Amino acid sequence: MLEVDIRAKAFRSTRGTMRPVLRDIAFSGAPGDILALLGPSGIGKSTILRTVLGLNPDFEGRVRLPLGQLGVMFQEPRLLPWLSIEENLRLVQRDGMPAPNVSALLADVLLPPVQALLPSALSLGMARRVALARALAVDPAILVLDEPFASLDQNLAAALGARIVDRVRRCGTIVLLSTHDVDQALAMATRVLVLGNTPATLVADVAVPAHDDKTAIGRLRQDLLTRFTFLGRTGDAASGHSLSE
Amino acid sequence: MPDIACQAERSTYGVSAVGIRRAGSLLALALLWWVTAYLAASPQRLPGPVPVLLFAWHEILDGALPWNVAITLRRVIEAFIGAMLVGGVLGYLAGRSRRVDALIDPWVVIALNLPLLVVVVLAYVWVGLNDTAAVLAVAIAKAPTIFITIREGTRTLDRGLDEVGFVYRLSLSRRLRRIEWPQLLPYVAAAARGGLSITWKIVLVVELLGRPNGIGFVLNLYFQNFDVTGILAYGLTFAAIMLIVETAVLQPWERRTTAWRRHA
Repeated sequence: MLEVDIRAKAFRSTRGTMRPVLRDIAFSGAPGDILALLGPSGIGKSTILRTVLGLNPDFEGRVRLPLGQLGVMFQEPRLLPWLSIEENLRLVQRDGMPAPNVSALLADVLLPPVQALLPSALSLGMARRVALARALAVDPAILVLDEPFASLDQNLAAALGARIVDRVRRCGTIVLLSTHDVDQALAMATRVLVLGNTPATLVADVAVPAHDDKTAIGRLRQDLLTRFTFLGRTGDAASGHSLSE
Repeated sequence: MPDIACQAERSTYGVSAVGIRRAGSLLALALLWWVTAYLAASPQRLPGPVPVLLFAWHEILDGALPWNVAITLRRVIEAFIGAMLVGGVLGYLAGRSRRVDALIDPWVVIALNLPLLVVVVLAYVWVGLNDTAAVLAVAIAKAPTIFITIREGTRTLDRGLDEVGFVYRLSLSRRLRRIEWPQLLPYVAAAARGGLSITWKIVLVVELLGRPNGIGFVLNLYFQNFDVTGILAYGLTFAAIMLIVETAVLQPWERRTTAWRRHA
């Protein structure tokens, strides 16, 4: 189980005053759940993910992670530039675990066998997919993905999303992802958590109907867009309250 | 129209061109020395390259030069390794933690500003007129600058990659070896290259002040006899050895370990 209860999180501004960014964000996830944090960019999605990962120790509240490994895809690829792709993928392996089949890991994220290259030889989109492969390589109990399909074209994003959904079904992984795109959230998630207001709170927590029920999904999409007009806009919503993290 | 050079041609051409330039630059220095000595026309005060080389050759055959060079070299290496270890480890810890830095930094400032002479004399008085005191004094004199270089390097470590190590729960040794060491290497290399050349100069002072052998002792001896040829022969021989260590060991090592940067 994943249990998140962030009562308050504030950032210190350069002038030394504390600015609250998150308030009363509580949700939980069971194996097989795909939770999508949905909100305009700058609202604090990454901050929530970082807090869940334990990278923001300075907050009020509690996070309980499921037992097992964490797989993380940050917004930037964060590959080690001095290691080849293969060495990057092997780096996160526990000692004593069987050596991963690197070509298969790369094929999982729809990459050609680029394991001998250095990360600088890859495009941003490819490097982010290697980061996803690295997250999958540890056989994670929970997969945390920060804007996983930014910088990918739509077809590729859809194909990768489908593969992740498939993996979650087979392995009982919990996925927590962030996105500013309603359609991406609805395409993958089993539950959508909508963020709004300043400081950010959960303004909606809705279950997504089965993905083959197109009409139900369409109704939910329309409902979300009318209730939360800020979801329709992209980009400019960020101005005014962008976060330092 | 000339062919566009392929990568292999270009790199071999580049290396040899650099080698030729370095050799040419050294030759120009020797020529400048020879001309100056010729114009000065005072072999007592400024002998030319030829008598100095002959003298050095004689001292090599005699065995005195290799023996003294070996003694000095041993002291340099011991003091250098000691200073690198102590300065490097403390610098890393201070770069990682502001609390540790607050504890160590005042000591470093004092050590940096303590005159070398004071360190050397105190080491001889307290430890005794022996090699331990000599090496200790040099290491104490050198460690602070290494400390500062490594501390600054540690402060530039990429926090994003740190977080990768944290979320994947990598072992401490893996984080140090695979994530941090490659980022610190340029700083370690800079500390080593700067450190080695300064270390040997300090060693000479220490030898001059209280050792019955080594290049510093020999230079003092020749100075008392106003034997400039001897001073130049010993001084330049050691500088030549350092040049070889620098070009044959330190530079290739640094190049190899930072090769990934050039692919970026």
